[in-house]
Amino acid sequence: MDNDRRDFIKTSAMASVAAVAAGGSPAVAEELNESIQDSAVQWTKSVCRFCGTGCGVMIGHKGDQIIAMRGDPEHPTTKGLVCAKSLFLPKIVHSKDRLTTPMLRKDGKFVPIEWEEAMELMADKFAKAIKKHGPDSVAYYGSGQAMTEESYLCNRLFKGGIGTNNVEGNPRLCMASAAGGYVTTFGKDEPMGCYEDIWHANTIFLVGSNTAECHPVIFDQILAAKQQNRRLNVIVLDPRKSPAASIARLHLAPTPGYDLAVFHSMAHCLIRDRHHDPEFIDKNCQFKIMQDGEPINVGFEGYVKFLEDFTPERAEMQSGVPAEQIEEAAKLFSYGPTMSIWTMGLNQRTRGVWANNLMHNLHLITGNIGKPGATPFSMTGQPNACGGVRDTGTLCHILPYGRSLKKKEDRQNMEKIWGSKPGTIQSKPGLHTVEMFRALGENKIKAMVILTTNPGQSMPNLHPVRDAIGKERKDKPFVVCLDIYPTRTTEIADLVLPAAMWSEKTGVFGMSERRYQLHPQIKQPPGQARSDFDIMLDFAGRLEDKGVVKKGYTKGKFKNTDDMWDEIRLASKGTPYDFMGITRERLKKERGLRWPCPTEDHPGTARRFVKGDDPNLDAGKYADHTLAQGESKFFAAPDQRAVVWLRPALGPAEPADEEYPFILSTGRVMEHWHSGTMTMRAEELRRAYPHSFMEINPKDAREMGIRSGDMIKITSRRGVAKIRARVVDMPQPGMVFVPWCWEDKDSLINFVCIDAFDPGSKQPEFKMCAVKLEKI
Amino acid sequence: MAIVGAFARIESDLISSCQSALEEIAGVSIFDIEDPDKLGVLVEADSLNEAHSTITTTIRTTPGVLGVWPVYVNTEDEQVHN
Repeated sequence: MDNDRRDFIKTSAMASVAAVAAGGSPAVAEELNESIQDSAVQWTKSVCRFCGTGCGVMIGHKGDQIIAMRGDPEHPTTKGLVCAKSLFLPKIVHSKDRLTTPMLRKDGKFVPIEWEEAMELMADKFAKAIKKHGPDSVAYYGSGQAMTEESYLCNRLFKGGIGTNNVEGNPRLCMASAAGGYVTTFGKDEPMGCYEDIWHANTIFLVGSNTAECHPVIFDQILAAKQQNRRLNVIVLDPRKSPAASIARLHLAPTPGYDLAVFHSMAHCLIRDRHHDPEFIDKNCQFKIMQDGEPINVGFEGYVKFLEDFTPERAEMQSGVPAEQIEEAAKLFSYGPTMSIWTMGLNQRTRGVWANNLMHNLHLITGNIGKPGATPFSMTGQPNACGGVRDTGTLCHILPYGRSLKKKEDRQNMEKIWGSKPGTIQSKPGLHTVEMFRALGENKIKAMVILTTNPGQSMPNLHPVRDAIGKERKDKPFVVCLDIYPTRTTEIADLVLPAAMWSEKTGVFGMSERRYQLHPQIKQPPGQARSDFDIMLDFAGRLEDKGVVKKGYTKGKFKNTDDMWDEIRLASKGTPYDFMGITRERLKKERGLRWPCPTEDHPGTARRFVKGDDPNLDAGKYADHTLAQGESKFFAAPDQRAVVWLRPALGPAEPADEEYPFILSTGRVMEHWHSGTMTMRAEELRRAYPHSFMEINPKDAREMGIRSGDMIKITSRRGVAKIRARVVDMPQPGMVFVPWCWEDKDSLINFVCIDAFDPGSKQPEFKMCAVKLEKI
Repeated sequence: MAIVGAFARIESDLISSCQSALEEIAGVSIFDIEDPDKLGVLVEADSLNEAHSTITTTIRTTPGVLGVWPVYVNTEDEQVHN
């Protein structure tokens, strides 16, 4: 690189930083664009492909090569900020070991085959299974990383075309409990608040969320808000002293799995000290407990009585959190506006839905909801778990945009939109994720397609899952895997189809604050790779030809994802999600839009369920003209009142015991994302954390004679992993923590994890299982 | 050759001492930006790996640095080599 070019790049880098530091002001952004005019590089607006923050990025490309990345300072919420992972996307896209040819397993080895042969074989296997064993003999397992149009297409094909609800995806492993919490409390899924709330809050309650590493851009916004507002208090509730806890005024560290008592006790203190909001409660809440499988109204008085069992002293006995800390947390929570942010620590639990309900309870009883800075807010871990899977209903128990499988009217409505044969959509939910892989192992599922995800590494209790996918046996099911790289799943699949990724295809991602954003195609996929959309559209057409899907159901209707987006918008029309106004043209021009957004001149919705903001309260079946501006109404809940749930404070499925005396919790590190399939391809990120590690508290390490670097055998009732120790005062005594991003078979921690799941959300308990440790 | 533009968020009381410490790091230039709680950081290194290592191990651990967020990276040379 010559000096002139180098100086130019340095100026561009400094200008980009200045633009971000200025908080995304349009004037500075324009100045930036002028200062880095570079005839050699074309810059295109896009969105990051990693977590659910949805950071706006600018991709610098020259021909078919992506050569630079920067944050997009014009992005309304992330304002140019991105984390290290995003900046390595060019390397990840251009990695040399991308899958480029369809591969078929023959005699135990993969051989390259032509697309025509691959697609015909896939369609043939599925069609034969459906004809011989019925629609429920096939299954789809998708991803919160697929584009919205891809997930919607697959949901449409399987539920409305083939006629099976065996439609699942990896959001079942990360966000199902959050969805269950929203639905049971407010009647509909998805957060009602937005990122702007961070800037208005006086208290931020981070629960089971290592925001510093897993959502670093949001963490910086919290830091910035804290520097701007000296009254802002951060409370962290997490059994592990994660990096996020470093900024907390108060860190509550419950015994893993025993935090439900803490939430109840905080509610007890808030009401005892008159920090609740009787007027808000009277207008907006109802109080329920489950008895004999039925919800029973108990009223506010019943709730107060229920909470008598949760004095801080009693809660301390159950949770291990000192009573005075619970008192302090309740006091800080009452210094509203209060925003709670949570992720997997609350969700990946057998009590995940209940934990979410109790989180909402605190906001409802204090009226800390629906106002700037006051909201419960779950963050998602994938770029499109919200928009792509939860919203499109690409799970076994739901239909698009808040519709229910159980309601005949909803099924008929979707059959009409999709053009299905009447009666095709079944009312009975399909198999959820854990059951689906069990059924695959029992050969009840005969053919399965896995798209943009890596269950051969990411599922809990991994041995039976890997056997289900890949173990040779009589009548072994046929498993097709679409991916961009070789993974622990592709290695055991029967047919591997090379897929395009991110900047090689055009589609929509919907992130945590309901913002839908377009990522455009910038380059061609490598080799023969095709977008998942193209592959599944091709597959759908072939199933029509083979007589297992109605003729013309998909064929000829859609050429590309733009066409599909129009049907998707139509499917949202008239629902509380209504985003008819989020047209493709607007998405190309604007930095995303938050639903609901019913018309093309609507600006999108910052806060749902609030008069003057949520368009559902202005027109349509939920309209209420008696409300004052800024007043809340939970119109989607039964009787239009949010439910404060009285839930038992139960613990984890597998507590520590004499034989397995430690609790294992799993999570991530900043540099790596999920199963590491992508981030391990960037040498710089891989070297930052080349090997897995097990954090252990110094007290336990001392007692066991363990030093940092010692190899430890971690054993549960399900499996073993061998990982080096890191002695550090982060997990509490009795707990060990292991990130799950490494694919090395010896250190794959998911062999050890439990597949017990929440009875409501069916989400597995990745955060807690009992293990024993042995130095080897 | 790798060039990374980043900003470091600094504890408000430690801006000046932090700036001095960061300026001592080889390959790192510090520049002022509008926000008083942040410093602009330009890292020049022989490889992206080295630049990343400077950010994660040296800059991030400097007393007073609350976090470092790279917002621009140029991999032009490395793409050409690919």
